[in-house]
Amino acid sequence: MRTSNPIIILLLFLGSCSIIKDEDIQSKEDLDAKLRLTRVEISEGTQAFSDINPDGTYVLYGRSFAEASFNSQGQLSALAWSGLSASNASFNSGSKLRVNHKSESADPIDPIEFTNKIDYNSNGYPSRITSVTETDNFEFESFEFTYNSDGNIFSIVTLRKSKDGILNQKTTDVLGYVNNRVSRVDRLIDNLNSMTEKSETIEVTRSGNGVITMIEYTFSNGTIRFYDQQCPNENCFWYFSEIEQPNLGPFGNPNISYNNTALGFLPTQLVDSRTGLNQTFGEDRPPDIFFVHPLLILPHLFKNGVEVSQIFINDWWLVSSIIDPDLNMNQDETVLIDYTFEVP
Amino acid sequence: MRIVLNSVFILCIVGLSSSAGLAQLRIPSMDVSLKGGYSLLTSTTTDVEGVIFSGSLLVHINEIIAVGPYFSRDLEVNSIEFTNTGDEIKNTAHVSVLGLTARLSTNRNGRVRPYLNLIFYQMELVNDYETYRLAQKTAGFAGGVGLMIKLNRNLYLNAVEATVYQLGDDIFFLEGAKQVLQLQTGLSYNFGRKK
Repeated sequence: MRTSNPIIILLLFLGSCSIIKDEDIQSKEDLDAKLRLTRVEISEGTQAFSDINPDGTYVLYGRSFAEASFNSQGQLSALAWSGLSASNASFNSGSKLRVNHKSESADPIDPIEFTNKIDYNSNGYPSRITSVTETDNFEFESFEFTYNSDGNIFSIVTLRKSKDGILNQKTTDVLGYVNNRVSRVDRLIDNLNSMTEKSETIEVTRSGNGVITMIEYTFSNGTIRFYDQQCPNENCFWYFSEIEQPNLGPFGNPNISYNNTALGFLPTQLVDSRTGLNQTFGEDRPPDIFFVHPLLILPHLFKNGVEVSQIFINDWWLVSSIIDPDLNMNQDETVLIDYTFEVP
Repeated sequence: MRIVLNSVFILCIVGLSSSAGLAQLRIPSMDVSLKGGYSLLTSTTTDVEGVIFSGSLLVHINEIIAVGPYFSRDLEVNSIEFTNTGDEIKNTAHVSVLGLTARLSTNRNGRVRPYLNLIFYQMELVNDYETYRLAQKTAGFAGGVGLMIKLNRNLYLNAVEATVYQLGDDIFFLEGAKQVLQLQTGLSYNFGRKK
């Protein structure tokens, strides 16, 4: 027994020592408070995120990066982008993601080296986000946010313009809430060149447990675009887009994964689906386009930002509706928005 | 749960100290074991795997049942994070388990003794990113099976032992992690009055 005593004491000593240190991050809340976004990366290619593998089934068309910088309070103050495509997208060109407004008549911003600059309100949420070109400091887009007393976004004023002056537009969105959840958005679009305006609405339908089931856009000409949530739960965002009535397409499938993990956001996956079920006009529909919109790229800067991002889906997802029998798009294409975080 | 486990563990230490003090009077039959092996934890985006070692001190209630404290620690464990490009990012990880084990084995007559383990454990997991570390404790139950081979009157070879830990909580930095698997081999030494 005496010879065994040291062994027993050693076992007990080793077993009772904790490997966790006081300075370790020991909860998700603690981690969220310390995590800092350092880089955003956008990649475009075929197939879905889960299918990427070394055997070549995933074809990467291109990548773009944004390096983050911070203000003296440690808040994200700028994202400096390089390499984004701005001109009209074409199949296999690797340009499914664009900056600037959807207006086809406006000059593209090219070369696409621009910076998102972010100012903050006293409540800690962004007050203004601008997009400014690197070469000539041209501010082609700005978003101004106001908030209600709960910290929810009350209004968004978006100004968009092009260098040639063709695009000069102001969009004012006022968000309405029921039980602290967005129920509708009233939109006023002012053409600052022609001094004309038009109004649109966004209505949000929810299930009994408050999860979004449909987002309904009514445009100024009376056209309605429905975005049907295909898997209505809080952790799944997968929409079909339909005009006027169900099953009349065109359809799309931005499978949006905004899950917040221990290491920040998972990559946001946007799929231009051609092979899934109910892909009406699948092969004949031109490619979907996605826009670099603050609510798409940086939803975590806002209260309930993930949900608000879904509600403004029509602002960052352009589902093509023109039918071209010669296109023959027969495989899915994916845009991935990936985030890198660090703990300073 | 952690407080209960710590209290039970302290009671065990006190009990064992007392038994050591009374060693000359009546020593219960005990097995002291040292083992080493492989540990694997899988999650949605990250695997934690590597080499661990463990020790236990089991007091025989009778020839079949033995109970006592158990621990395992990492020797070289890594977390392997899979990125969207198929790359792997490797970081240092640490795994520590402290628990109470109940072992049910066949009697000592045979040369080969299969056994079952039931462990009430507290586990500490650490993922080390060099500039910061993520850590969490969890507690729960584990179960395992093993095979002892008698080498001489007191010494046994634990030829193989497989243990599955059912994680009692979601690990905030390992999304989707549910179980930890450990495969070990080692030696057990029996001393004290035989039961």
